[in-house]
Amino acid sequence: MMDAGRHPNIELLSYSAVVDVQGYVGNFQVRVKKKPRYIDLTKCTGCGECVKECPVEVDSEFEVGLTKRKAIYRPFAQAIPPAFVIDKRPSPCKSTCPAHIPVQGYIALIGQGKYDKALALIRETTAFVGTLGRVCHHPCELECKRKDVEAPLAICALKRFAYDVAAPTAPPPAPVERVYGEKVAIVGTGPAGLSAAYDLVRMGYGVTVYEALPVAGGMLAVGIPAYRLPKDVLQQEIDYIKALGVEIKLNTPIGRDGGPTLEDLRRDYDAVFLAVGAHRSRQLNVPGEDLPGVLHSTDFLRALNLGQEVKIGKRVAVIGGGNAAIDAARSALRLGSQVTIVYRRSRAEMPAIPAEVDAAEEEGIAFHFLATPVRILGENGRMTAMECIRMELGAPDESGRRRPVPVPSSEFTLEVDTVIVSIGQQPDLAPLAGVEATGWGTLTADPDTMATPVEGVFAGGDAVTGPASAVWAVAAGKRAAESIHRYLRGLDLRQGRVFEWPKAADIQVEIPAGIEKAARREMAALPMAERKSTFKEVELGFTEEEARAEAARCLSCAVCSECQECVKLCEAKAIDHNMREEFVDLEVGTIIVATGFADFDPTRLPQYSYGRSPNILTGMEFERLTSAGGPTGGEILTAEGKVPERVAIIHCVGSRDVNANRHCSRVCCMYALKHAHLVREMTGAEVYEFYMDMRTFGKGYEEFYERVQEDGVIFVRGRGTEVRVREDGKLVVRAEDTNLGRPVSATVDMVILGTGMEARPDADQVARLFGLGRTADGFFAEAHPKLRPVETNTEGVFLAGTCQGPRDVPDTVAHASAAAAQALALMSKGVVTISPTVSHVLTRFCTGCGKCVLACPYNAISLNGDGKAEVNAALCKGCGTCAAACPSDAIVPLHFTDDQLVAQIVGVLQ
Amino acid sequence: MTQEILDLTAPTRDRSFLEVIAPDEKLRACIQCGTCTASCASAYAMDYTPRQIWRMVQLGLRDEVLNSKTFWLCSTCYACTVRCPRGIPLTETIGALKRMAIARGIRRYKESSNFYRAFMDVVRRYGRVDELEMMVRYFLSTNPLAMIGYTPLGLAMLTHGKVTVGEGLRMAPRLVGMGGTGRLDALFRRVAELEAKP
Repeated sequence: MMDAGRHPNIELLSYSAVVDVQGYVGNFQVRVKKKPRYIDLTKCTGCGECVKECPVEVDSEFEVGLTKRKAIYRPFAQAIPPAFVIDKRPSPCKSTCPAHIPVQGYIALIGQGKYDKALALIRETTAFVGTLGRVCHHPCELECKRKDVEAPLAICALKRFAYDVAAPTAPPPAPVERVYGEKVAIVGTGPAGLSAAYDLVRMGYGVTVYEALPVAGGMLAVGIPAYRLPKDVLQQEIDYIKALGVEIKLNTPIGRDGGPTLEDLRRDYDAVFLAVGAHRSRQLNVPGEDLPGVLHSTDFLRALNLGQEVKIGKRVAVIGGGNAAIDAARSALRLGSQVTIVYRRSRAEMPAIPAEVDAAEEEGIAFHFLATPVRILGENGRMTAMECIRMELGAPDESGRRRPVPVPSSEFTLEVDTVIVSIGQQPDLAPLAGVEATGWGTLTADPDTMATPVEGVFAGGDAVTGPASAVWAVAAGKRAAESIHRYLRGLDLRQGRVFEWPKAADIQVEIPAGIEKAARREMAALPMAERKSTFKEVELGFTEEEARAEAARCLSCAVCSECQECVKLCEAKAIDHNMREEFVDLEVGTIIVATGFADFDPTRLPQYSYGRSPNILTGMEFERLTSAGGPTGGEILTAEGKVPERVAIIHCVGSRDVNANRHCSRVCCMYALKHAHLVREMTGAEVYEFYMDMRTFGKGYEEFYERVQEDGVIFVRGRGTEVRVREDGKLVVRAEDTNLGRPVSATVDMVILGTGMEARPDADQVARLFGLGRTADGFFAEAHPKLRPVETNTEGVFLAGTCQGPRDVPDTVAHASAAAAQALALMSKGVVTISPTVSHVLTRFCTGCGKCVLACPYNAISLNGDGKAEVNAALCKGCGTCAAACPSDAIVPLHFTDDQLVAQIVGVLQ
Repeated sequence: MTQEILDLTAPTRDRSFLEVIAPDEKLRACIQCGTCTASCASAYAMDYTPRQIWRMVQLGLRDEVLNSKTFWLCSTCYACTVRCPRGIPLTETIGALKRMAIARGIRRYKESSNFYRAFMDVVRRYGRVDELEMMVRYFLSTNPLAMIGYTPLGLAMLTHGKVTVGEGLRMAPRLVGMGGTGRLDALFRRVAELEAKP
């Protein structure tokens, strides 16, 4: 293997798969998909340092599940090439997260107690760690695969934990060095604006962010109440962004009140990002709306958050069902009012985070579902009540939710003195002269690149989408930053970017069998009395134990968590987590298929109890157990770590059996004898070997059998019929000793199943790819069972080894050498001799119907530029199927034309 | 014990036995692995193991097979059939042996054959099983005195509702109208006629 790996004329495409084969003998075009290895083969020295800090462990394929390996690993010690590989699969959480934060990575690091590393990892994607850890609507948790075990992980709370525990002691960041001369202006300091600023400043651009309000943070600062997001958490995160070199200009609105205009920004800066948010509240449009006492949630929450005095009455009605409505209601409650939420749909349709709705209810807020105000009543210029009408849900509207319709004459009155309207917000675009708006009153921008129709101007966040969630704004800011970078560098805005990540439902994750259930942890909450009267934070965060226990529930769906620990350890700088799959096109003359076999899975024969005791092993597993590099360092031990006193070996498991495979796997008798010999030699245990016929074919094999008999192995001529796992863990094997004619049993500590060879599960795909036939046993068909055991029916394609049928090592080597010789014989000649019996098209009769193209089993016929059939003589086997299929007799097999056949018949009859 | 040499070529070997018992060729492909024996819950009580029976059938040792106890002890659990690596319908073969033994009037293990007989007779008469009558018929045909020994057990089963009495009594008046035989009688007679044909 080493020699093959080093040979200058052998190019090894490891971690690759053939995806397409075209052409014919001497002229094959093969397309190979190279899976991303995430490790540069030219740099990796195979030192193994990277493995040390990898937090992910999965079953080792090479040790057939007897030991674990890391996500970064070398498949086995002697692997060629000796470089490492990273096992990385899509994960539902990261794929679902709009900002694609490496969720599994920071969870793995939290699980290992590396909280500062977890924080640093999240900060590579977003600066809003503590903020998103509190206010995110966490769509990731809805898709977390752990939900199929009992409940999804508390991902959001874990992110908050990483921030709370590590941020206070983390060193302040140093300003980032300017790499590029260009400056970018950003309008709005909300999550979209600051996320773009954070990414751009780290790329090395000059960034200035304009803010109309006296505080930075956008809706995070003035929309979300302090009991959900304490002011100091947000401020620290904004300070972190500023410390990197981002300039923030507060109290500087754009296009009004004397601030610069968009035109000014476009002139003074090289690019502009508009992230103005959606701060203008929608009107109710009902009579009485202008009465004092009617407030809008945006104004109410902004005033509260800015510390201004807010006057509301004793009985407050909040209209709406979004997060802003819940925030306004819970804030009003904290000011001492009695609060009722009026929402026109039912609870299930509320866009607010369900946990927030629950918290509001717990705190004593009343709900009026399926109702909407029709009039606000007043007396002497003061509000007295609100008249509502009941609604019912009709047909779904364009948003997919059922449209509420008023129920006639169902009006009722709520006695209230304050109404807080929270039925939606829009961006205020009036001051931004020159931009384009949609019919919804939002900014026009490409949803992928965030580019607006105006040159050099990008837009994102609520201003584009309408009111959405913080994490969507973060995602938009990140996309805009990448686009602005590409714009400023003159690169294509789209090329090579992934805008659509795999849907969580399409990501296959196997949940390990026998996984133990572990309840999802919930954060402790502030006592109710304090919740109702103060703006102190309600959720108290995880303790260290809670966080570690919660992190331990992660299923590691992606295997590699992208925690980047290996990158830090690799001195050769060989690791690149951003590698993508590549395609390689090869021109080859011949092909040798050597795809091997599959080990029979004995769970298909339940009588052998495989999987019900760790001491029932397949031949392959026992083989690993006896290897010096294996899980026990080569000692033969039971799962309990003891030397077995008695061992049973059962032949023909999955072979010579109509209930599994009919064929004899040929190698098992000999490997079973070897196992028996090893057990006798290394442990001295009694060995009971159950066989039907001993197939010791060929040179030296019978002699070995004789030696193993003399070793003292007790051979029982009878099929090992069943294995029962006794309560004390002992294994009872039953059979008939057919020489004695008596039923027998053996009680042992370990059972080795002589599992057979079968065709690989993907043999069908491989067969189609290379145009191979398959025999009834599933293996690839050779051209002739006796005379052409290496060739296939597709010329130029040869078989080597167990993909053609069960065989042992010496026979495989011989077969492979034969395949190499056959391939060389063809190539050294450089020409192919074909039979003259090929099909011929009589062009003047051919109508170009294409029936022959479909009928040809060798893909030898195609339609040419004139729309006539054309035969590739190198592929044609002269089978005549096309001649039978042709409706106009326009294609004939040479030497077997109708005239020739008739002449022959006439000759016979004479 | 002496071992008599079995002459495989002797004319006494019934060369059609295999054909009659197992008309499809599957049984010929038996590899004598003993899976049937090791899967059989009754093998411990048999005089020949099931595997040995197949061998004897293959070689046409008809009288030895038909006089053996083995096939009478089969409880038709089908474990051997399910596991047989050659896919031989072994339980059906056992059924064929039972039918042939009864047809040939081999009475050596009449406990079993009489039990089947008692069951079929009661079904023939009433179209269903009268448990008490079936047991009475069985004991009368084998060992009437044994009934006395089983009386306490029978009473206990009666009081616990594990066996019922009176199915036959309920049916009796209708049987009088049919001349003493049940409606299934015609069916049984027809089957007997068919089986009697060579």
